Order: sequence, then structure tokens, then C-alpha cells
Amino acid sequence: MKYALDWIRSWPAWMLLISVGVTVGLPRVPYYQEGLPYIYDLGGMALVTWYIGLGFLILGLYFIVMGCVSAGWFLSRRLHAVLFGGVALILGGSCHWLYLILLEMSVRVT
Amino acid sequence: MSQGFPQMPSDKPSLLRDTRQGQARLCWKNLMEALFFCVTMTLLAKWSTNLPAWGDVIASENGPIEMMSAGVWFVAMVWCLTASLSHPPHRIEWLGLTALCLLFGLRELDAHVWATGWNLDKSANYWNPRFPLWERLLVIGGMIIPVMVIGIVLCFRIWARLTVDWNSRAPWIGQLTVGGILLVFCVVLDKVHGYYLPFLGLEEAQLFFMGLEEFGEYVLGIYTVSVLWPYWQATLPFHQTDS
Repeated sequence: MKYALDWIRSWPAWMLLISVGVTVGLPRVPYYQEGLPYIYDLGGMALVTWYIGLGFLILGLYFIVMGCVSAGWFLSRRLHAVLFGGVALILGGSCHWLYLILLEMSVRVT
Repeated sequence: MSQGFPQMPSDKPSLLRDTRQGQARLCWKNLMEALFFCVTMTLLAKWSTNLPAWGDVIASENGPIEMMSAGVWFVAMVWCLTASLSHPPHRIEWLGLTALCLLFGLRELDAHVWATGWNLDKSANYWNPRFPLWERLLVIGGMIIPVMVIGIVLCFRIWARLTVDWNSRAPWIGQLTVGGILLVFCVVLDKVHGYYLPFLGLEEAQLFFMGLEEFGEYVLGIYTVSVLWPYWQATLPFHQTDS
């Protein structure tokens, strides 16, 4: 258990999420298979937005998981950690929404 | 506390003020951890993507290594931004690092090429009349000058602490130096495989050098994260109260 907690507190655990997100998640998002993001301006901006969204998603997860680990599941004691995590997740979701809009626009333009 | 994985130092240092853990080996530990992690992730990427050749995984533009490398910079950007909001005493440093991480991420995705249609890396392009003058001026005014200002401000902040921290063997000096060496290594490789290999008659080695450059950039990103990790943690509210 202690080993697992040490792992969660370490950077490789969270960097691993990026690798999984990029190698597994990115090729599965809409339109990416068609290779649009790299060819057109809007698609490129969409790709950057997707990456920033991934950053907020991982930050949100980190806040919630580490907040819970630090507080020993007494969320009321560390409510701000969960609150910040929620805000980060919402920002991540907003980035993903913006990503979809930008990609749709890039499809229309092309 | 177990030292099996990189952990936050027990004294919870703030950025540029860690004077108690001044071991040179810390830099090499960061570098070796980053190398080990990147090798592991490369193997996993090869396995999970089913790409036929190693060159497709490591050396290709838009390949898994480049995508992961860009991802690391953008995630680091978000974390630096959060640190700047939660840690006012070093807000300028964190905002400067936020801008640098964003720049490195955009550079990794070749954002300058798809956004402008021409390569900002080539200085000759700034004199090329084929590209609109207003666009070249916009790049200089909107990107190059702000980046130079950020660099100058960060250098001044670092310079102001350098003597004191050098004498107290603060680890950030060594960590910054190793990071700088890695950066120079990647830039040199980028130029070598782009311009000089054909002159040297080593066209066949192009793929090897490209792979080395992409892998070096990934290691640089992960190394940066491993160095910044304890400083990030020290700025977060629930870490500041759980000792």
C-alpha cells in the first residue's frame, strides 16, 4: 500500500497518463484519423487546444487523487483540493469542447 | 518515506530557494530517471501502436514520441500556470516557465509552420520578400520580442540569486546546467540532420539523427518535469499543510 502511495505521489505515474492519453486517446478523437490537425491552421489550433485540455484533465485528476490521499478520504478537510480539481476538470472539458468546434470549423473550411 | 520514486524533499523548498539538498548527484538522478522513463515509454509506444518500424515510432514527424513530447510540455505549462496562481512569491518565475513550456510545446508541434506557412527557425526567411512584411514583423513583435523579454527577466531573477545559491550548492544551478546541455544537444542535432549531413556525405544516417533528436527532445521534456516536480508540489495547498 505504501509503495502504491509513493507511486501516486511520484511524477512517473502522472507522466505515464500523458503517454497513454497521447498514444491511445489522441488517435481515437474525432477527425484526427483523417490527418487534419497538422495540415490546416484551425486543425493545428485544435490540436494545441486538445493538448492543453489533456493538461487540465491530468491536473484535475492529480488534485482530486492527491487531495484524497493527503486527507485520508476525509474530503471535507481538504475540500479546496477537490474544488480545484473540479475546476481543472471543467477547464479540461471546455478545452475538449473547443477542440471539437475548431475541428468542425476546419472541416467546413476545407 | 520510501525513496523508491522521486519524492518531494522533506523541507518543501520553494522555487530557486532550495539550499539544503545541494548534491550534484541530484542532477544526474533526474537525468537517469528521465532517460529510463523515456526508454520505457518508447517501448510501450511501439507495442501499443503496432507501428512496423522503430523509425515510425521515434523518428517520424507526428509519431508517438513527438506527440508524447508535445504532451509533456503542454501539461507542464498547465502545472506551471497553476503554480503561478497558488504561489505569489515566485509568480514571475512560474509565469516565465509557463510561457517557455508553451513555446516548447508549440515548437514541438511545428505550430510556427502551420500558423504562418513559413519556417520561423530559418533566419534567412525574415529577409525573404516572398513572405508578407507585416507577417514577419508580427512574428518578431508578437513572438520573438516577448520571448526575449521573458528570457531576460528570468535571467535577471536567476542572476540575482546566483552567487548566494552557488555558494550554498543549491541544486537548481546544476539542474539548469544539465537542462541547458540537453537543449543545446537537441538544437545541434536538429541543425546537423537538417543541413550538414548531406555535406558530410552521411545521408543514410539522417533517420538515426532524426530519431536521436526526437528522443532527446522527449528526454528534455521529461527531465524538466522531474526537476520541477518537487517545486510544483511545494506550491500546492494540500501539500503545504500535510507535513
